[in-house]
Amino acid sequence: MGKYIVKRVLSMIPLLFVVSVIVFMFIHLIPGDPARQIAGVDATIGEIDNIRRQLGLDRPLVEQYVTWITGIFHGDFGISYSNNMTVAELLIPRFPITIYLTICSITWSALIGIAIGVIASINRGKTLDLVGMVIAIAGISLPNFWLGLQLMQIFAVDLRLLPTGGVNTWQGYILPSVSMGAGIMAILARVTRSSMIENLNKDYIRTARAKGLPEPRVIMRHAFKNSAIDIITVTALQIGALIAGSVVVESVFSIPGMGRLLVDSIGFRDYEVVQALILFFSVEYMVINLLADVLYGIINPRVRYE
Amino acid sequence: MANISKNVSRRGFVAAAGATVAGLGLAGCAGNSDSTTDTTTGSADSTELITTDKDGFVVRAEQTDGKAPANECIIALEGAIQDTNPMTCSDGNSVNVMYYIYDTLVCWDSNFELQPAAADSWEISEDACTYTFHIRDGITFEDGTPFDAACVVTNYQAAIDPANNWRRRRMFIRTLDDDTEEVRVDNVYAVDEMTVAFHLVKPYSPFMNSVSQFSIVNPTVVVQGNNYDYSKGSAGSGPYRLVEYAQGDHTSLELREGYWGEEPAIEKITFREVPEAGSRIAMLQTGEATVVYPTPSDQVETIRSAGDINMCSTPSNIMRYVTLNNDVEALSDVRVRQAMNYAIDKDAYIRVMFSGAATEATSVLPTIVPGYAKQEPYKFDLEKAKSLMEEAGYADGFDINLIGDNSTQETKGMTFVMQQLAQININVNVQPNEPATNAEITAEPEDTTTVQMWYVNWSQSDADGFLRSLLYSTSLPPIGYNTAFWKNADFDEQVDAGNAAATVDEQNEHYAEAQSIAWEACPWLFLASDNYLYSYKSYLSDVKMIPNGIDVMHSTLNV
Repeated sequence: MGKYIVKRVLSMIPLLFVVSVIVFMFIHLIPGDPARQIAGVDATIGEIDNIRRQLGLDRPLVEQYVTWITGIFHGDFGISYSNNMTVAELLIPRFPITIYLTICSITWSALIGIAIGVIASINRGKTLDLVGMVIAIAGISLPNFWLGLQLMQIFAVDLRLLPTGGVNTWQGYILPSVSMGAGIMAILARVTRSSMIENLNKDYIRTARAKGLPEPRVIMRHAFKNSAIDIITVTALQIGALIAGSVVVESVFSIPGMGRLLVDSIGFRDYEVVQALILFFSVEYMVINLLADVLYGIINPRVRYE
Repeated sequence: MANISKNVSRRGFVAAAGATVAGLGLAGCAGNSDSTTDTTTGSADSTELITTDKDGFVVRAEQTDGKAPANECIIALEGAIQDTNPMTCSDGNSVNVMYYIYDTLVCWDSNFELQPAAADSWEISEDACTYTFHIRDGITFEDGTPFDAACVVTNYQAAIDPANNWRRRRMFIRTLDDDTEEVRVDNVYAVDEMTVAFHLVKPYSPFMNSVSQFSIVNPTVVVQGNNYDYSKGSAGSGPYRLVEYAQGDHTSLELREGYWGEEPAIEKITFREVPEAGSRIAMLQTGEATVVYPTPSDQVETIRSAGDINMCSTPSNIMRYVTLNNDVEALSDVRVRQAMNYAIDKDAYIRVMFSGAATEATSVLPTIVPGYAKQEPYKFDLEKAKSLMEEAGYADGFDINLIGDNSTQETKGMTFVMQQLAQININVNVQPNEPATNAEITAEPEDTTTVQMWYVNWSQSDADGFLRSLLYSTSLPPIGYNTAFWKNADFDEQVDAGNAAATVDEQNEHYAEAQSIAWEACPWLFLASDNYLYSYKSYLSDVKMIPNGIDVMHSTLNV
C-alpha cells in the first residue's frame, strides 16, 4: 500500500506538468491584454510596452513559462496585476474558506445522501423510497443559486436565524454549505440506492440471509460495503464539481473564496493568479482521487494494489 | 463601471474585473455592466415602472423609528474595491473609499458643483494659466505632518515621476498620440507656506476637475513611491482612517482623531463586496447592510414591503450609446446615421432596460454634466427613418456587426437595438464578447479595426471628458475611444476653444456649439442616461450621491 501511494504521488508530477503547460497556454493565448488593463484608457503605446516589459510579457512564451515554473520551485507564484499583491498574499486568506466550505458541503451531503439511498433501497417501491427519490430529484433539479437565495430569504430575512452572507462566524457556513451540497446529496442518494438494489439482488446476499444473519448486518456489512466503491467514486468526482459550484455560491453569499477570485482574475487576465488557482484545483482533484483509490483498497481487499 | 477623472478613466478596466459597478464617479469608463452573477435583474414586462417623487425617492420608508445596531454604516457594493492607493486607483468603488480617507483641494457636491475642501479659496489668473489655491490652516496628517503648500508640491512631484508609473500622472501630462505626450502643467510651486500654485502651459478649463481628483497623501509617505503599502496604513488627512482592507470581502474605516473639519457623526464605515443583487437586498432587510448600491430595479416591491427602507433614483453621469464607424460605407452617410436614430424607440429602451429609471439622451452629455446643452431629440419616427434610408439609397438596408459586453444586461440592450433597426431593414449581427476581449478589439487602430458598431457606456464628470475622449478627431483608438472614427474640424475647434476659455460661460458656449455639431452628425445612436438607484435603512438620516460615490459624511445613524 505504501509503495502504491508513493507511486501515485510520483505519477502526479508529470500530470501537473501537463496541467501547468495547458493552463499557461490557455490564459496567454485567449484575447485580452493585461498590460492594457493595467495602463488604462489613454495610455500611450510606449506606456503599455513599458508595463509589458516590466511584467516580462514581451518575452517569448517559452521563456515566460520557464520563469514562472522556476519561481514556483522557489515558492514564488508571482503577483496579481490587478492590485500588486503577491499571489500567495491573495490566496492564503481564501484558501481555508474554500476548503472549509467544501468539507462542510461534502460531509453533510454524503451522510444524508447515503442514508437516503440506503433507506430507499431497502424500502424499494414503498412510500419511503418515493419520498427519498423526490428529495433526490429536487436536489438535482434546483439550481444552487436559486436554492441559496430561497434559503437566505427564509433563514436570514424572515426568521433572522442566520447571516445573509460572509463567513465571519461559523453560522455563515451553514446556508452556503446547504446550497452547495444539495445536488451532491441528491446524486449520492440515487447512486447509493441503485447500487444497493443491485447488490441486494445478488446471490451472496441470498446466502447471507439463508444462513440466518440478522437483516441489519446483511445490509450494512454485506450489501453496503460492496456498494461503497461506487459511492466513493461518485463522491470523489462530485468534490471536483463542488469547485464549479463554489463560484456561484460564493457570489450569492458574498464569500471571499477561491472560486470568485478565479472568475474575477480571468476577467482581468490576471495571468499568474489564474495559473496558481488552476494548479491548486488540479492538485486538489488529484489528491482526492488518490484518497478515493486508497479507500477502495481498505474497503475491498480484492482491489488492493501492488 | 468605473469612474474617475478623465485622466484615470478605466473603461474596460473595471468591466474586465468581473463584477462592475455602475459608474458613480468622475472617470470615464465604458463597458460597465451588471455582474455576471446577477440573477435577479428583471424585465420591464414583469416589474412595475420606477417613478420618483420630487426629492428623488422611489420608496419612502413608513417606519422611521428603527434603531441601528451600532454606530456603523455598512455600504454593500456590487463590485470590488480593487486598490487602496489614491495615486493609482481607478475603479469607482476605490475612489469612493478614498473620498473618506484623503482630502483634495476642492471637491464636488451632489449638484455637481465645486466646493472648497482642503483649499478654502482659489483664484484663476486672467490668462487662465495659473491656478492658485489657499490651503486651510491646521490640517494635519495622522503623524502630525502638516498639510501645506510644500506637501502639495511633493505630491505633484511623486505623481508625475515616471518611475512610479501612477495613473494620476495623466492629470498633469496628456497623451497626444501613440508615443508623444504633452505637459499640461509645467510648474507647481509654493507661493507661501499655505498657498500653492499650478501653472499650465496653456489654458485648460477642465483643470479643476483634475484637481478635484487629486488626493493629497502624507508627504512622508508619498516619497516612498511604490514601497509603501496603502492597504495596511492610513496616509490621509480626511476624517476616516483605513483600519482593514480584506481584498474581495470588506474594507473598514473608522473616525480618526485630529480631523480639521466638522467631525462626522458615524463612527465606522464598512464597505462590503456583495456581487449578487438579491443578496444585497436581503442584507438591507436584515440590517446587515445600511446602504446598498446599486439597487436592482426589480426590487421595488420587496423594498416597499420591508417598510423601513428608502430607495432613491437620481440622474447619473452615465451615457449609453452605440458608436457608428464612419469608415463603414453605409454608415458614412449622415442620412443613414440619422435614420438609425429615428428608428430607435427610446421610451421603450428605457422601459425594457431600466424599468423607466433613465432619461432619454438629449445630447452627447448626460444632463447633469456641467456644460450640457439640450438638443432636439430624434423622436421615434419610422416613416422618417425609412424615407431617409431610401434617400440614401439603402431602402433595402444592409448587414452590420454590433459588439458589446456579454453580460445579461448588455446583451439585452444589443438585442433591443437589433430589433429596432430591423424595422428599417438593417440586419444587425449581435456579437457579445467578454469585456477584456472587447477592450482589445476596440483598441485596434483605424486601419485595422473590425469595430462597426459598439454598444457601450461612458461616465465622466466634465464635458471635456466626453467630447474630447469620445469624439475628438485625434482620440482614435488605441489612445481614445472615438470608435465612430468621426472627424469634424468644426467640432474639434469648438472643443479646443472651450478648453482655452477663460470663463465658464464662454467655455459652455463653445461646448454647446460642439454638442450641436455632434448631435446633427449622429456619430452615435443616442440612447439614454440611466439613473443611480440606491437604497438605505430609514435609521440612517440620508445619503448623498456625489461624483466620488456614496456620501454619508454628513449623515447620522439613529443608534
